[in-house]
Amino acid sequence: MQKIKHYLNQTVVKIFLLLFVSFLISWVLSGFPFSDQALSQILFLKPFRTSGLLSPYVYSILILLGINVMLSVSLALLNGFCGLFTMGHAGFMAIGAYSSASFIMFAIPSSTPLLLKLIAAVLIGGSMSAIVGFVIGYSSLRLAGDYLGMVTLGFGEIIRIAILNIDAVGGARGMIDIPQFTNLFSVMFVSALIVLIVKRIRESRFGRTMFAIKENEIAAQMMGINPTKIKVQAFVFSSFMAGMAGALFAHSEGYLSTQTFTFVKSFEIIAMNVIGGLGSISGAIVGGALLTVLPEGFRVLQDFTGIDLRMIIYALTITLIMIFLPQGLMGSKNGNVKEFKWLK
Amino acid sequence: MKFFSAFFTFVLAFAFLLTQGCTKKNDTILIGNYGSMTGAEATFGLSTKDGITLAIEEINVAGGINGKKVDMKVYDNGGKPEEARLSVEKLINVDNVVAILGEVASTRSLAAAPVAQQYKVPMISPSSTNPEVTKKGDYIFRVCFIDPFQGMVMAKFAFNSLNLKKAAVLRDSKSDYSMGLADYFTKTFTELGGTIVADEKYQSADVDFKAQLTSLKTKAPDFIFIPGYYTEVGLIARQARDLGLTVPLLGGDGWDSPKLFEIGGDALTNSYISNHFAAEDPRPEVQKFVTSFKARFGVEPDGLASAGYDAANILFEAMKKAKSLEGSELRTALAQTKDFKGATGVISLDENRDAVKSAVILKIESGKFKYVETVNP
Repeated sequence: MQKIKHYLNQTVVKIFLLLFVSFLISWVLSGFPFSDQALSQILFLKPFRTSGLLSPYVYSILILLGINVMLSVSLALLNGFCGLFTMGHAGFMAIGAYSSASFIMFAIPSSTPLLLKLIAAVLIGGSMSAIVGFVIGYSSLRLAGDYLGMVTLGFGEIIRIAILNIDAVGGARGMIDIPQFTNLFSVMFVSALIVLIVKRIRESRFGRTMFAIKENEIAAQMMGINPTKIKVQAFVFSSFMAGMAGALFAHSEGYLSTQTFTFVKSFEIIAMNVIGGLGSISGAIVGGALLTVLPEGFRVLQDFTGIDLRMIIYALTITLIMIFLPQGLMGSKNGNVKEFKWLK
Repeated sequence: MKFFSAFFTFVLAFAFLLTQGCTKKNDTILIGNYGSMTGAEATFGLSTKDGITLAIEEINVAGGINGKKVDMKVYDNGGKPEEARLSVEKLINVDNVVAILGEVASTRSLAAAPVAQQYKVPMISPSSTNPEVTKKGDYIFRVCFIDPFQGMVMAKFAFNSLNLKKAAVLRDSKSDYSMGLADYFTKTFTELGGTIVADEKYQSADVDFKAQLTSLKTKAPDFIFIPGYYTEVGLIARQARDLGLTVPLLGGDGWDSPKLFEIGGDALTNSYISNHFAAEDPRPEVQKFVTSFKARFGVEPDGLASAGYDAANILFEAMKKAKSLEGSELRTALAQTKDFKGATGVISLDENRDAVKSAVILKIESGKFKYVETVNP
């Protein structure tokens, strides 16, 4: 028994477990199909969903939920662990989305198997975003607090406007006809993987040093930590994950427009973190899920109220959460954060 | 406690999601509308919705379509392309609408059109002018003219009605819209026999246009064609008058904003633009629409409201003619729309599912748009 438990804790085994569990869930949600074709559609990705237990609409929401959880958890690394208050996360997402979409559309033949395309898209999106993250992280190192927030906000807008001026990716019209191959299985797996990675980072030496820098940078320096290095690393990791989320987003929507990646999106990601509880991974997950589902879920209310009060109720809900739970859903009054058992 | 609250929110969230499955069944015809009712472009969605609402009320008073009343489901997308896509997915899969009206902005129409095309539900965009929109598939229609058409209209108007032969073009090199208009204007104007004496460029968000204007002035054009948006146009007009350029300025529907007069002021006097709709147009369809819109909503309709009204009426016309309300039957009926007399002009749909229709020319006089004439394609 002990041996099995020890074995299950190995990272490689966990990754395979995640793969299996996300496949199982998408298989169940697709209505237990047994044909080779249906199974390969789940595994090897199919653009639009027709039948299954979920309506295509709910399926789309779940995909968006997974992407938002990725973004939120990746920001938790920067904002919650390292205390770097950044406001340009949508920029990293945009880089990931546009670079992977252009790579898939212009650089590789369209006959490439979908699975390879997906892996390439996620890796290209992540690495391009990480490169930009490195540049931004390195160049804004001397800043802290609100100043860093302002600079990253500016960078986010620079990225967006730069993309707006590239004709090859559609400019203001937006990028059209992007191949769609993100499905529930891939989103679920990648977001679970990101949660696992962030959890391992938090437990590692790297994670502890990030928390040390967040609490007191000078004291951390006295202990022999190089804050510069750690901060840049945090930026690179975080932007890599945001880039992966962006890549999956691009290939699930099939259309990209810079209207998606305004600073409003950055603030939405911050709100996911704050509502969930800063510094908590489960908080980031809960916040990400809540802020995706609520605006869509509240559409139902329109049937009862007659007029569209969706945004008012949505804003009211968030305000009430912040009044009654100022530390966020997964935070507690003494400043600690709570986690789900499986995240501890 | 914390786990409870988190658990509770999840349960709440998924309860919401599960309720998305139930639909009401009744003997009305349900159509869908999606638009930006909140966010930076909220007026776009709200105006269009008002126009469609008026059309629905009128058809229901007149007895509905083949005895069935029409009902509408409206979803807001907050100006976000991904929400536009989600709301169309909901309209089709959860509410089972027979047709969709929307969106105003081309970016959001482009995001949602593939969904409508995939499920074979006809979608009519009231005012998306980007040529790409209807290229997304044969179920996507539009009832407004596309960008380049306005360039043609202005060339005809300047040459035939204003009798001006020497044109200067000042275009925004960063905007698809501006480049399209300028190219078509140049082509038509030279074909008619006019000459383009100068073609200068600026970039959106520029504030100083003196260099381009000075160079234009030396060429002594009869008029300047500026296919841009109102912010830059207002500044250009001011700077042109400062430099002593008193020739008329011509432009497209990008000028149509109350902000234009705040920025440009008196410098805009003696300018002409092409637009979709003019409330002073004497045609009976227009006057009937303007009176009933004012009676219903208390304000004068704008171009977007009239485009929404026309889109809805074209849809109803097709529904009456179609054998059934199946997507494919409705699509066929829509594609055959010919010489429909709407508030924005006489509309026919061509083989690309784009509208072929007239444009109105407006003149700017003392801070107001005045109707001049209607130019046919």
